[in-house]
Amino acid sequence: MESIVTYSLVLSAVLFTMGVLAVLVRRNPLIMFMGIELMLNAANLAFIAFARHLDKLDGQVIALIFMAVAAAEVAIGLAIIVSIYRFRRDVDVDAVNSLRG
Amino acid sequence: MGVSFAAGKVSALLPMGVIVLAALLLVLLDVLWRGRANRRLAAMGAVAVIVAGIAQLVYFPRIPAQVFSGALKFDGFAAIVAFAVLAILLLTLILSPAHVARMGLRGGEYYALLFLSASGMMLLPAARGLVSIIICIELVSLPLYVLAGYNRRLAFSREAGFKYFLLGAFASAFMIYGAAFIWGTTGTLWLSGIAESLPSPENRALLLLGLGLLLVGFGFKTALAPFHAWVPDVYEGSPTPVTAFMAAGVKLAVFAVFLRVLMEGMMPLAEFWRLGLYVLAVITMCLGNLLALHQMSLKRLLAYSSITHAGYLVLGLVAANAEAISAVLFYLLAYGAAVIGSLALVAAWAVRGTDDVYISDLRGAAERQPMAALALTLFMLSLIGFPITAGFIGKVLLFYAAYKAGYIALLIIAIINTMVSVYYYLRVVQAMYILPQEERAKPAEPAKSGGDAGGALSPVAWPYLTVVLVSAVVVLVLGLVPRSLLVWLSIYSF
Repeated sequence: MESIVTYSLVLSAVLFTMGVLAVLVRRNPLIMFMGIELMLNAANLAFIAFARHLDKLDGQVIALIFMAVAAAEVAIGLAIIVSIYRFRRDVDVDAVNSLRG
Repeated sequence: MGVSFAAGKVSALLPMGVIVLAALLLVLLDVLWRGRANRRLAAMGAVAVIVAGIAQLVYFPRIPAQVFSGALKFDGFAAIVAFAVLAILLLTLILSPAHVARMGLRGGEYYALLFLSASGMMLLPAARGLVSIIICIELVSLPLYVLAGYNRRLAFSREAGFKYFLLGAFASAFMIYGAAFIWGTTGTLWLSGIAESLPSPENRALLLLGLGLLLVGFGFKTALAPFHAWVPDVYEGSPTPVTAFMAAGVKLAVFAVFLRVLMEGMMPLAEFWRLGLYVLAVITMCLGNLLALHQMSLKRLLAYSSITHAGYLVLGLVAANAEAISAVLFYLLAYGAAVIGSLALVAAWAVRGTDDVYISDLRGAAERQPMAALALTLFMLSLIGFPITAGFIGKVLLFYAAYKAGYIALLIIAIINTMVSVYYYLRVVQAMYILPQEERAKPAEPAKSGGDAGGALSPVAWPYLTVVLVSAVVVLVLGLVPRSLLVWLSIYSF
């Protein structure tokens, strides 16, 4: 494997792990949401790195498609967070806990 | 394959086209009618569903039809799932207007979102590449995130929407990252292509990582045990018709495509995912059952029971033989009918401020509403898997598939879990038939009783009654003459 491909894959793994940790550890919905975006972009980076490795353009096209998917998710997610925020001034996940276990 | 692109037999897309068009039309009509024509919108929607059903019947893909260079391939299996999705959508439409009005919800985008989600469910079993599968799963999920939080005045519902969104998006990210590794090691995302171009066994580390991430993503979407935490909250918080739609529809579509991904794309890697799913099945069945034992809320009980049922269904995935395909599909339909029926009764009896029914509320229901109580008993028996109901046949088929594949230990665990589940399903029946009606202590429920006469359960209005009747008939017919469906399932399995 070319070294640039390896580096990109390692970077994407680091980004993905950071995203997962952000979702699991942080309690602010916006930060958690950013974590998810980080995970999605890590996946796109992996697609592009593999596209270089396999010398196929498909990977870049697939990354573009998933960017559109991520954009749709952002639209919905922000709307949901705003609608929660309108009813309560604070947006902290620990405060959003009237449903339990 | 190169750059050739063939649209293929686009006529196979007609039913989904009708549903998507209906969704757009409903948004327009809602604006024209100024958001007040709740019932009319639902009626228009029902007409569209029937038209789509006729289109599906006319263009039934007896010979599999490829569309868009094979990204979608319509066959009998996909058509049967599409029919079932249409039926589920129709039942949800019957339930919705009365419930939406009672909960004081507004807006026609509710119906449009239902339709968009249903179009994704119909496309999902036809998808043949991981890209189209992930996009279809998004198409199913995105409208449901909004629908789960649709009852905005209720903190529960807002929370449900938010949690569903967060964990759903989390799961999608896992799936996409998994797909990246699968593409990187095999150079293709077509299911048939993956099976053909696997790397040599010593270079499979990245591929297995991708497979694992994909399984985690599917685990979230199908609510398997370590990834199930969102289910009870989302099921309880969502408006009840939406819960019914999710429980029956999402499970059906996602399990159908899960089966396809594993059996068409990943069969050479079976030893790995079988092991993973084996473990998930055991944890899911046991945990779902244990947590269901002490639930007081009927919706929450059904949520945990849905986790348990997902565990049973994984038995079929682990078996992954010819019997498993029709068994999983039959089980999903049987489960869907029972769960829609029970949730219709929950919707009918729900108190305005909570959109939920507690088991203590059911006391004395047998005396006041004998028919409804009988129907709920029937649904509970079907969920247990009691003979003469659809659930029994589904369980027999599923367990037989696991037996034939040689998973005896898993089978025994499933049977033990079935016996444990009898306890909490019968608790519902016991509350209706045996427990006395007095001492109606309802600690978990707010004092205001919106519209129910004398604190008892409100009578079941006709829309709910229709849905309950249809579900009960389906449960009984599938239980008494399962051949009627099994013939089709065995002809059109893939």
